[in-house]
Amino acid sequence: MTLLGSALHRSDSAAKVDGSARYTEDFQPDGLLHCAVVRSPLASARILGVDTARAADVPGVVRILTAADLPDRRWGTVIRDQPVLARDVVRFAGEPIALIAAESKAAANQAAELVELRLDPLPASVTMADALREDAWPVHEGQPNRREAARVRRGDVDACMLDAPFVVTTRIESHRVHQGYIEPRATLAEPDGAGGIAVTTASQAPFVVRQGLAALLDLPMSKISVRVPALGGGFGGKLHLGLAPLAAVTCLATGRPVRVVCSRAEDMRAGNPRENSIVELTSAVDRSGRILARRAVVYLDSGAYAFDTPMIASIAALMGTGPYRVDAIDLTAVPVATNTCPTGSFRGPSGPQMVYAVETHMNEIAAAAGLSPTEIRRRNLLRSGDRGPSGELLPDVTMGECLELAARRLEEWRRDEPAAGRGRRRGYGLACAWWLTSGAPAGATVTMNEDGTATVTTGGTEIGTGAVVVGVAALVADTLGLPLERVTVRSGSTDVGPYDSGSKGSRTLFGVGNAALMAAEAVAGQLRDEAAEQLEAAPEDLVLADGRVSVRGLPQASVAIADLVVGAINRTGPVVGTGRFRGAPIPLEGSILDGMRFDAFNEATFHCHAAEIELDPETGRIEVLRYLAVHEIGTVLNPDGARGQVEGGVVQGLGYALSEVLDVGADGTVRNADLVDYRLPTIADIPRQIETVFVAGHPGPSGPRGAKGIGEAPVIIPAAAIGAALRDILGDQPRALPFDPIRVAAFLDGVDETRQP
Amino acid sequence: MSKIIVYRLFDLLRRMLSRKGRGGVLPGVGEFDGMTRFRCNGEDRQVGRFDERLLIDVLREDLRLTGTKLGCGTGDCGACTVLLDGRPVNSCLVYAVECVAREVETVERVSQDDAGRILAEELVAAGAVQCGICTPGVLVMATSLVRSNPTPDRADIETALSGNLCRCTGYLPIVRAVEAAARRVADQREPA
Ligand code: FES
Ligand code: FES
Repeated sequence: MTLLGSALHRSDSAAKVDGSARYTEDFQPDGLLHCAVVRSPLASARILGVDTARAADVPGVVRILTAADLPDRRWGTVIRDQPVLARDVVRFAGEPIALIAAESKAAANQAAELVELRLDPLPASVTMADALREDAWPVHEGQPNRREAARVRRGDVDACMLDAPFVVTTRIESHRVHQGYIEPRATLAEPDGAGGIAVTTASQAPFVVRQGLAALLDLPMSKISVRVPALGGGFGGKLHLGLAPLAAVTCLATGRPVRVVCSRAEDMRAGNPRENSIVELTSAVDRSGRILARRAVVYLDSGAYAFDTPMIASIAALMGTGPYRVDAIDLTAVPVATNTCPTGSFRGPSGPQMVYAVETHMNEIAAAAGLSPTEIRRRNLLRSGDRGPSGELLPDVTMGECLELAARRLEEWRRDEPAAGRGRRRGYGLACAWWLTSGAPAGATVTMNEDGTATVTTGGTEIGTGAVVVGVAALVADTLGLPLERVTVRSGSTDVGPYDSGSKGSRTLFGVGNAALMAAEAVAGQLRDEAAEQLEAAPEDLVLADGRVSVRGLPQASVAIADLVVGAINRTGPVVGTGRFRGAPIPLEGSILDGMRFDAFNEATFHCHAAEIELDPETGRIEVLRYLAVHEIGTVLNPDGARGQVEGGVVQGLGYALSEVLDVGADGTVRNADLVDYRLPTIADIPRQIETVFVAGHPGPSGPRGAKGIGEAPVIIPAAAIGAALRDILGDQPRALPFDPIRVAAFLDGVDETRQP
Repeated sequence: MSKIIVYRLFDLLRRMLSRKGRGGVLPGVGEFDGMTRFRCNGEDRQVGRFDERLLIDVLREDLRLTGTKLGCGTGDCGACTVLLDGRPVNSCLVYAVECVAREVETVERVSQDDAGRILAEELVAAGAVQCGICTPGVLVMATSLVRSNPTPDRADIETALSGNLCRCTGYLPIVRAVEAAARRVADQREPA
């Protein structure tokens, strides 16, 4: 194990730097048709008619599609309720109504302007408050806007609340934010020359796309191939069918290659952002500060269609305790339908608002119990051997270790505190969280080539983290005793490798890595068998290293892997292994689960972040000076890649905390659908320093070589750490996110001046 | 004639909106024959008569230089950055016709030049490339910075790259890469 855990070269970087890597939009087949999507300007309306006659006259227009041209089928993640093109009614501003395919982008856009939509406005439920009213407008006729809840219960919460010395309640409102991937969503569909279609798409989950297309279009899966070339970020926003149905239908209708690309504005209006939410937490606490019971009620704005929210609601319910032991719980999360763009997965779904709410609540409990924020956490942390909210046994909990590391650093910072800028005030805060590693299914093959190189195939996608191109490659290289550069991974296509469930749930290295490891071990076995024959030794005495197989203790008795591969091909057959993985079912004990579509953290990871901030009370501006991220993610296989996930995730989390808000107006339209008014962090907005610490010595028992997930956790904590630092300055912290200067200034006005030091 | 006026108006408007340098002056009307000819990566290219398209589309579609990426189309992300007469511009804000008789350099060329090659190496080494969609723009912008300012400090780097959005890396590796590249470029310039 010398390769794993060392600095690993990333083989796909050079082509990305010089512009030769190809992304979906970079493919330009002959005869390509360009598309424009006509979208609803209204949040709620009946479609009286769609007049396409003038649009069809625009030179270059080849085909116009409306709902009438499509089978009346719906799609969705859990509940199939979403049409490809709106039929009869529109339920959110930005919902696709028609598609124009033309010889040029300009012609398609021009024609789109000429499509006449005859829409009869209907009442709308734009906010969750609107949607939950007794007489609310139903987003789906005949169905309540309050959708099926996810709920976890254990113990007698009511009794604890009655008897407890303190009962503390916290209510948090969180905002809607966009994934902000820099590559807009794009799909290219082409006839494959054999009666099927070949789809090239910016997706995190090609197999999900294939399955969805097959169901919508009545095509056998074997007639559909989906490949993901280089992918320009996704963060959960590209986990779905996206534009593939539109491209595929038009391709089938015209027999030509068709590309559909979202403009940035379309992506901001009709992508599937992180849901805004309301989180209400109530805890019963004893005199020593121990939490006896917790009630959580979470409302998640699902938007106009169910999309991912039923799944996210389950995660939100599970996140209701935070990484603390609470024996009596009643945790409920409710998706709420509104006439807004359907919300969906965004890196760490429900995480940032749940962590913010739980950690704010902890700070309030600390204040009520007269304890420091660190002490209240110490007294309540989960410990090894405890059970999580759903009754999952947690054999190795490292939350305490993470907390103590961060708390120590925070004290050091406080001591060496340089003078704050004129009129500015310093604050120090920390926040704890735990997160999951999904055990979703993965497959991989490893094939040895005659020159001693290895090719790994998987349907897993390289979303940009390096989990596939570096992590999986390194696992295989390590197992086979090959230098990293002799292993190539081909990924992201339904035709190239076996099934994979997609880049989500912090599971790519975990899941694909486990499958690839199994395949590599099969290959190693075949190589040993062949070498045993050639070296006249027992297979178990053979070691694979430096591209050779040799007898343990007898390095001169060795043979090159390339020769073994050729030998095996001639003697017993090619050297090839397959691997498949699915996380084992987690036994749950002691809790009652209702509507939970996701019920275990699987390989749980533990995290604590600390922040040093400076507040300008005049302007409400917060500057983050130093930032520490402590993570326990099992064994770190690719330290540079893992640190990249942490640093990038922290900055995304700071964007969530400080500047990003998708602003949905009273009419249900997005008012800042561009990258000027939607403020992603720039290079000038980041902390001077982000320090990453990985806690060692806790391999994940079911991870490949002990690895657990790291993709999502870093993004869910920064808002809570910044909030704690604000409380350090003000003695109180906001109950609504984000902390942009305007909201912070308003909050400062409300803070009782006498409470300030 | 009227097209030229329209172009000038558009140019003015877009320049007002752009954070970067202006697209540039239109050539004198007298020498403009309606053909869109410019130098691109050292070669003379001709793309169309009264071409109304944006530089980014001409680069990507006609010249198949797809290293220049489209992230927003409104001048806000920097993924489409190219050099026009040596100065960085957002190619999604520049009309092809504005480049007549001028020199365009894209990432395909810039990454092969001295400073660009060093930057490319340092971006890779620093782990500044994750999904990579922002990277060509970052490389072009940073190369232009290092060419004009051999000793950029962090504030210089922040100013130069504040129009290049990266959603993956959190920017620290980009800062490290530019600092390292600037040192190497400066070392090379030192007379032996
Ligand atoms: S595409 Fe030109 S700045 Fe974003
Ligand atoms: S590396 Fe993905 S946007 Fe920069």
